[in-house]
Amino acid sequence: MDKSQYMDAFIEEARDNLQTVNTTLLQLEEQGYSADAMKEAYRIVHTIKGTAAVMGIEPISELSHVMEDLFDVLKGRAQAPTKEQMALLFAGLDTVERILDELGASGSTTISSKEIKEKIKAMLEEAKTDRVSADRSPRAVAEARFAISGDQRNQLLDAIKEGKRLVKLTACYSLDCKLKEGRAFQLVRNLSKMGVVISSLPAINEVKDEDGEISILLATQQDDEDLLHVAKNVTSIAEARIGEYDLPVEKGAEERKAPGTEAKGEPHGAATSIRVKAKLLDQLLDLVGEIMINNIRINQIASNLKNRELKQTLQSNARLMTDLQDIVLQTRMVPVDFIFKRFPRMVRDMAVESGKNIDFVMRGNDIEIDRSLLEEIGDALVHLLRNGVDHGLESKEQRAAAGKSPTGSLLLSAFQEQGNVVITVEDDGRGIDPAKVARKAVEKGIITQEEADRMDDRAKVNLVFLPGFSTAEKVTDISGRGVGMDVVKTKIQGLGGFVKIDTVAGKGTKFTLKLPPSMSIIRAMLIEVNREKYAIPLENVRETVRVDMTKVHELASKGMFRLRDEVLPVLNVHSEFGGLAAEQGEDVPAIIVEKNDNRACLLVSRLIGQQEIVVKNVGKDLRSTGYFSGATILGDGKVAMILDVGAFV
Amino acid sequence: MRRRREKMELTGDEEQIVSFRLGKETFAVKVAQVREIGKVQDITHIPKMPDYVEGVMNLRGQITTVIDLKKRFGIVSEAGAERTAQSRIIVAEIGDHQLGIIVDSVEDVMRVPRNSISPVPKTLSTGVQSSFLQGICKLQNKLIMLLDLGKMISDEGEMNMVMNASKTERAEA
Repeated sequence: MDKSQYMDAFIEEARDNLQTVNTTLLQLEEQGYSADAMKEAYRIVHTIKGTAAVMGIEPISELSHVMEDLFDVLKGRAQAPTKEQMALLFAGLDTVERILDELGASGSTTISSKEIKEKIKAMLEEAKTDRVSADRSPRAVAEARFAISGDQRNQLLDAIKEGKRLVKLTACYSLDCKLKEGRAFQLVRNLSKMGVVISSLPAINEVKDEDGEISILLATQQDDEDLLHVAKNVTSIAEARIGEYDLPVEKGAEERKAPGTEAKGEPHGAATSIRVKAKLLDQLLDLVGEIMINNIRINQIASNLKNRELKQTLQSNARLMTDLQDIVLQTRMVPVDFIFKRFPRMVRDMAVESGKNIDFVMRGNDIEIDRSLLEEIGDALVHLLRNGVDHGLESKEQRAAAGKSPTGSLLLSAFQEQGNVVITVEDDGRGIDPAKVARKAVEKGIITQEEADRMDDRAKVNLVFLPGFSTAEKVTDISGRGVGMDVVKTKIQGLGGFVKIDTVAGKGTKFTLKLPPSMSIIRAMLIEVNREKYAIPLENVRETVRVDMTKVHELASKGMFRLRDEVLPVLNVHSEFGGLAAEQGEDVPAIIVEKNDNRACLLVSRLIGQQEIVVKNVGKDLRSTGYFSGATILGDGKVAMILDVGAFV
Repeated sequence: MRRRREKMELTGDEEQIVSFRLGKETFAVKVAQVREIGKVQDITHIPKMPDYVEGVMNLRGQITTVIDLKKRFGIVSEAGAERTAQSRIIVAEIGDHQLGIIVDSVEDVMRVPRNSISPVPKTLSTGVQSSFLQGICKLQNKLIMLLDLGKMISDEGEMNMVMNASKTERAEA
């Protein structure tokens, strides 16, 4: 058997599996022991071991073998990995990942997993002999989710509407407790007087004498103390604790606790989706673009022929084309989770490294975005998260001194806004101090003191986006190569989006990245300048007007035009592009463009109309003029450049 | 591509070249570097680019930069029209990059013995940068300057300015 042809598939699959184990481990670390999570981790490490053995990659198969053993022992003891075990397991996974990287790059590996393997082996021996269960924190007990039926959910939503809060009360039976079912029933009955009992875990009719505790989900308006009092008054209830309960969101809704539900996987997903090479999808899109262009051409020819049957066929064809285009664009959409899923592990490592406590929450993992866009923004997000951990969030001591909770919060969320995908990275740290930023910029010679003095706070904060500002930042080994804020900004703007900072001193900082949903097929306004056609993305077009040149006034050597209440700079694209001198007249076609809240009035030769265009990539050289963001092919087969409005406003 | 060329060199000990004219001079490129030759079609002019950059054209859906080789080399046109019915675009493809070059006419596709190609004499006086020349091919009745398109497209070359994006590169706009 020629193994090389299976290598890529193996690497890809193993990477996915690693990701799942990582997520599962994080879940175990955060929420304590869960039988499902342990089983999942064990199962997947087993798979990795098996496939690696088939491929003859011993460093991986041997390493995953000992990891599997460790999971097995822990699973058998219903125990989550201890801190040390966790560290070793993570290190083990990292080693496997490094080996995979090397395999992917060169087809063979020189990395030895021996050291880490021996360490885990030693740990394993220790764990085997260590009969006393080590750290059995209350959290180490099953944190399974309540099963909530549709009725119960409605009941619950009603309760929330009535202003009740949701709590989870967990009661431990005393050691000599008999007839636990009865006790559980009594507990539920008593609690019913305090609020609405939604569900219990285990269900009340499934309580067995082996159970150590029971959890009850309750919607109530009573205080925690009162509830605990009621619970403890039930005979044979030794201990009770209570906490707010976050309702697990239904599929499709937005919030999800970071490493949370991922591990369980979605078994039905396996059957309905398949892997397709990304390159094929790109080619498919290219082809659809080609067909669309041809179609426009055919339509032009058909309109001259005046054949009714042909016209009808073309109409139905047009509908099919639209559907095809929609579907092809959909195939390129992937949930942001595609890259978000690696962040919990990364933030955890950064938190450990910096000695900070961080509560990392992700929202909107299911928001979909064009795959190529997503790949492009990965580094930018890594940078913003690292920035949040390193600079945004304070140390425990500083937070305590500032009267904040010692655990810093870092929130990564994605949502949709008017057809755009918005991603925010938000921390509740110290915020950005405008004066400090300005001082640093002056020190680095990026701006002069006078310039700094003239700036308002907002402008000062935005200085962090200037090239050369963040070069002195230390580069941590976690995030690898550090990219500066300027790179983040350039990247996002290059993709047709923008970056915004909102910061409040002492309260935190929020970075907002706004991205176009897709960049492959867009609506555009076609214009003509110097006998060449150009396309302007419709999102940058505000309106088209006719400009009376006699009403254009010179102001600071710039033409200015008054449109209703607004004074707009007038740019003559002809002369800008080295064409003839400005057209004169009372009726010059013009287009009002805007980008990032800046507007300008562009004088053109002709306004042609709106059209859907397929965005084609052009070389860096063509983009380097700054005027063009890409090109497209028109119905007549000719190329039209896409204007980057940013060059004019 | 290089491998293919070497193979040919080994087996036949000869080089397959396409010869074309720029003004009065005859040039040639290796067939292995040519993707296709076509008539001059609609070219979209691009403002703010060097004058020898003719613009971009649609080559079956790919946006391809086109340069005018005569302007690039400063070769004076013979009297008459800039473009004639004989004008052609030679699309060169090296690795992932492609570039269209406009020539006055394409003459011939021929096999020449490798030993007929000699290094470029230092004294050669032509507008062509000698670094773009791969050699001089001496045939019975004429001399042909063999251009190295790879050099022209390659990273060090000045032509990097107009190098076209690769087909496989992701569509980013």
